[in-house]
Amino acid sequence: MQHSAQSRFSPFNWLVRQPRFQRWLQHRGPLAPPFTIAYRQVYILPTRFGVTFAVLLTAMLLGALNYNNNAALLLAFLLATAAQLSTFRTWRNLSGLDVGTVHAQPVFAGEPAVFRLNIYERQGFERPILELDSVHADAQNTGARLTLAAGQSGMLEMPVATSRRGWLECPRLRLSTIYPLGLFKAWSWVYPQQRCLVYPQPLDNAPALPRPSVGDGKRNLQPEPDADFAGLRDYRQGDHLKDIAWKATARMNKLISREEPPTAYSELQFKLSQTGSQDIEHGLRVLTTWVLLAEQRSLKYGLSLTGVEVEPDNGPAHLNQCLRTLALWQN
Amino acid sequence: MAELAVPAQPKLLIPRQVMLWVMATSAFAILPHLTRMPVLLAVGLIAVIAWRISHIYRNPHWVLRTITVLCAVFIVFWLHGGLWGRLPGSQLLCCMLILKSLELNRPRDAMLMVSLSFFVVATWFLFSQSPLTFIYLVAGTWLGLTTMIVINRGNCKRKEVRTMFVQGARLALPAIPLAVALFFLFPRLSVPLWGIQGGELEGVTGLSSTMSPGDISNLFIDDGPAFRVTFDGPQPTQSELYWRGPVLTRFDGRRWTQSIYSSVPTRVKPDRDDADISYEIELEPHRRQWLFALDYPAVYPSESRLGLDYQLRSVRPVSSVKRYRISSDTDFRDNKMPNSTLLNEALRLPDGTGSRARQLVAEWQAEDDSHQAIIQTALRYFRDNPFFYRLDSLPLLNDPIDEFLFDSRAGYCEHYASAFTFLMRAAGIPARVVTGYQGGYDNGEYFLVRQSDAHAWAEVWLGDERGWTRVDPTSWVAPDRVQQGSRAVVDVPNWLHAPWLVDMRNQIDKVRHWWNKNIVSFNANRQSRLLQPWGIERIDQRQLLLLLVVLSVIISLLIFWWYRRADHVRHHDPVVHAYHKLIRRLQRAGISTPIYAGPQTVMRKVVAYCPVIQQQVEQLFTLYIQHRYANGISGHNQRVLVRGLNAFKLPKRS
Repeated sequence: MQHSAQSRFSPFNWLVRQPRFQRWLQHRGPLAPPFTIAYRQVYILPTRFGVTFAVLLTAMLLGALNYNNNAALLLAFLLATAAQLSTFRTWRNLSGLDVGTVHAQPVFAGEPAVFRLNIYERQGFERPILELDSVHADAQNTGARLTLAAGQSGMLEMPVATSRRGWLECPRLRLSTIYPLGLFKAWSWVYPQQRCLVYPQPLDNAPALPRPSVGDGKRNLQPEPDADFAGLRDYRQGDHLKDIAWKATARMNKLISREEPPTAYSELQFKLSQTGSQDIEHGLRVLTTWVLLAEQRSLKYGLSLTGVEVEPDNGPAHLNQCLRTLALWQN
Repeated sequence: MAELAVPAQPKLLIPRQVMLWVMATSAFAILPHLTRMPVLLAVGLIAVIAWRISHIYRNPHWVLRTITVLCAVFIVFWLHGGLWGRLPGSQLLCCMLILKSLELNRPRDAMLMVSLSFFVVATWFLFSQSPLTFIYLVAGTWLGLTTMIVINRGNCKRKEVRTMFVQGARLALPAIPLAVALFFLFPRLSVPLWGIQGGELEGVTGLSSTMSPGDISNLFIDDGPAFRVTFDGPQPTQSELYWRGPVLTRFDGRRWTQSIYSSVPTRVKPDRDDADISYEIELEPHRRQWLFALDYPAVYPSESRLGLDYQLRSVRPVSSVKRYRISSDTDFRDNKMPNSTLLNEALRLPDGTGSRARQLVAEWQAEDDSHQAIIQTALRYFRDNPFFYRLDSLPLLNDPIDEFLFDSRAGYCEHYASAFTFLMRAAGIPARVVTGYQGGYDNGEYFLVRQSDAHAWAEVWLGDERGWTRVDPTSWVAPDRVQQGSRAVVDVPNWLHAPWLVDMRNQIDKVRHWWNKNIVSFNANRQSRLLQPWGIERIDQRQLLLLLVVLSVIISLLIFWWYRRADHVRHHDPVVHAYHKLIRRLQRAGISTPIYAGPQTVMRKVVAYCPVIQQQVEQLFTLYIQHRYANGISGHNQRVLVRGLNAFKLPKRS
């Protein structure tokens, strides 16, 4: 399940999406990390403020030329030259940086998937104010900035909004800088071939866990409802009020809590049909909630979906397997 | 070692230090403007700056802000009677810059303020282009660029201030050669694109088009240069240097003004072949039309006119330093009187003033009626009676001529010229007052004429034979004034005469002269003759552009080379530098490691590649790991390590 790459419209974004432009970019060097940013891979354009500044300088220049005011003319030339030379500084701030791999931890749909890009400074000079952004519609540009001292390495994050389960491709990234004057923005394209797993979103008000399967006849160890001392233990801090066995407490003269039935005896095999939901996506969300609840209560649980069977078990690895199955299951 | 990005919300306020930088830049930009501002405005702006610095994170309410802006506009309007023009315009710009700081929150505001500061710096050059302003220009650029860096970095710790200034200098310094190339080679306009307004007279000292008692003596305290003269041939003596300026014919009893006919061009001009003195004048801008010349200009610049009263006027007001060449014919006699109106005007006297003076003249006429005799008697009258040449004369209240001639008997040149002219007219001799400068200081290279050399004298018409003849009554009262200059006759505090101070003032003026000659008065005309020293007579604009492009490319390449060299030299940790060089050598040799690989991985790969040198490799890498990731190693060991890393070589595989 892929997210469609929609971008906010701008001439720049339009150009970036053109296949010919993309081929041309690919031609100029690797875009998939890890790679070292070559001088040909740094692009530079004036920022919006840079354009404003240029207009201002032009006004100053015209006025000075008209009145043959040589001091003002000198100032205008000095500023224009400094601005022009700053492009070299801006370019140099990116050129030669080592772009490392991109990583992203799986997330539940609705949470932002955070792609983390490692960068390494190996040329031996400071790289101030590096920024990571993306023109992707779901990309949440944070404006976070990183300054790398000489020989240092660092990490920049790109959170991407998620709404659906499945694989989320890392959007095309731009590693950019406006250092030193903010008049020009230099950037390098980074196209990580990396994706992030998005689990279905758990529900807040999911139906209760189904009763353990009893049909197989092996185990029928539901505790008797009125067995007074079954599953009682001393009160521990944090126990909920309604879990306190008041009768037993009165009898024992100390706080006694009731405990969930021992888990080793019940096995839950979740099926879509148990969720009672017509909508498959909604059903998968219910199953995700159940899986999480069961793991929380240390129950043994498994999944039975069309074409996929996960044997009951528990533990973090098992949980991941179940969630991954739910994220990627196709009807 | 890994750094995590600092989240920076764009909507967040800029930090305190950044704000202080911005405030410092804008305060520096308005600094010279403050000296020309009305006190009310200056105090207001300083108060706003102080308030902002003490209330960094509190914007005034928008209603209050709007009211402040309206107040500022109103004050400027009220003080200058308008918003257009140099002075109100620049002061309004200063106000807007400082008031913008009341909503200085985001980096965008900060960047805008810095850009405005550059503009404020530029507007100051409408008032002055002295060498001192060049320091202001360079310092302002440096500070502004540094502030822009600080804004973009988003912070600046106290100990980083120096580093920031160094970074700013690294941007500004390489820009200088390119800017200078642009300055001399960028095609200039020989004709302005839009009109240049004249008649803006604020704050310019110098002669005016009228003369009342006290006007010229006020100029005495002004040590500023009026113009500089370089003579081609032999220099005339001090007492011949009468620099003709405005000629004043009309008199209302107190004030002398120019005749309305004075701007009519004269048809009788000295012949250029008779001109015996040639010189070049570098005139400081006075925003008036008149040019100064010795009597009588025969050859003068094309964009000027010679009037009926032989006053030289430029077509446009002199708003920047102007250099022009003049040849004068000292023997010329303007004996032909083309216009009797002018003569009549030179005889007119206001009614009801100077009755005692008229009486005195009537007594003289009774003795000898000839014009020559009257003139001699008048001059003798000044010499033989106790007249004093003084700056601090009593104010003349009701009848300036009579009060001066008979009561106070103390005054400056304008008093004598005025009284003498009056006496002549009373005797029926056409006479007029000429203002200008007298003398000049020869500093070896050129004659410097200061504002304090301003002078006034008289001209009388001695019939068709001799025409208008200069008579300087001051020279009869105080001969030193004319022979040795204005400073010889008036008591000034002793320390002003200290030789070192005089010497220093003259040295400073030499700098100003050089600056004016080469920078301020550089224009399209001079540009076309730029390559004259190299034998190229004229250079057109296309050739200029070509030269500019070639030169820019050469300079840019030099700068880039310098930048790259600086990068390679400046490595913070020589050990890291040597290590990375080794990694690159290994890569070329075929041991490629991923960029994220640590030294241990690299070490294992090298050992696997070439087990023979295991011991050496392990020794090196252990030391490196200790330096980078453990407690560090001693300075001696660091040097050993750098040497070891640099000397490391892979043995040839057999």
